[in-house]
Amino acid sequence: MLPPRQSGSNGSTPIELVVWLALLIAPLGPMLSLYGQLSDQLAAESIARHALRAAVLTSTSHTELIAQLPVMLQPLAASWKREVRGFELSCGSCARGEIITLRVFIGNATGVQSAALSPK
Amino acid sequence: MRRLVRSDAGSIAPLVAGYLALVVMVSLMATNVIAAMAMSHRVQGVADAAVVYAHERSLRVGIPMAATLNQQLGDFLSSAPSATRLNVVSAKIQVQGASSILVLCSSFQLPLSPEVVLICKEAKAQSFLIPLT
Repeated sequence: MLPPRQSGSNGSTPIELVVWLALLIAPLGPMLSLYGQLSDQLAAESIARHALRAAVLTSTSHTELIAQLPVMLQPLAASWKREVRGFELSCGSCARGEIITLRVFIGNATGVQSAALSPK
Repeated sequence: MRRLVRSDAGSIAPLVAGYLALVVMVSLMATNVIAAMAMSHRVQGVADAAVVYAHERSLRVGIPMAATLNQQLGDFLSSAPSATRLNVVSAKIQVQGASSILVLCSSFQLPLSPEVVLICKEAKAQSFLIPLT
């Protein structure tokens, strides 16, 4: 003979609610952190791309390009509501027509873009 | 005659587990979408710079030379730091009159998914005469 089926409502709903809500909220922390990192990465890539493109199109020499970059970066960073931690420009021998690489740092994210001035 | 029976026995666990699964799923999707958007910016930037680089260096009387165009494109993709970080799957460049059109495709591993997606971007460069005043 089977034992009688038992059912009951013993326990505490508030405790159960707190435990489950804690479990519900727990993954949000790392997710928000990851979301922040990816947002910074998206902003860094976009700012690097548009700043370098604008600087290359409006400059005729490397000296001019280096002077133009901070001017280009400022409004782009403001439009993304981000603070650019710094930027780095590398161009090898920096001869005319050489590939120029711009790295933009926002938080822990780095955006990289390369372009070149016209060889003539 | 039927009687309505009500009981408060049970657990909210399935409901909370459902919400939890929903939150995690939405977060994973959002993460993958944002990462893909960041990567598409990189691919578009590389395509824009590569087509201008190759076009400028392959012009002959305002018309790009296909062989030189391909060679210069290869040079850019193999030496530019922004391009070498990409996993370029294909780069097809063609000449249409005074224009060069590049379609660059790069594969990308989504950060929170086993899926590998292909991001393709198109860029165009055209040479034109500026009238002397």
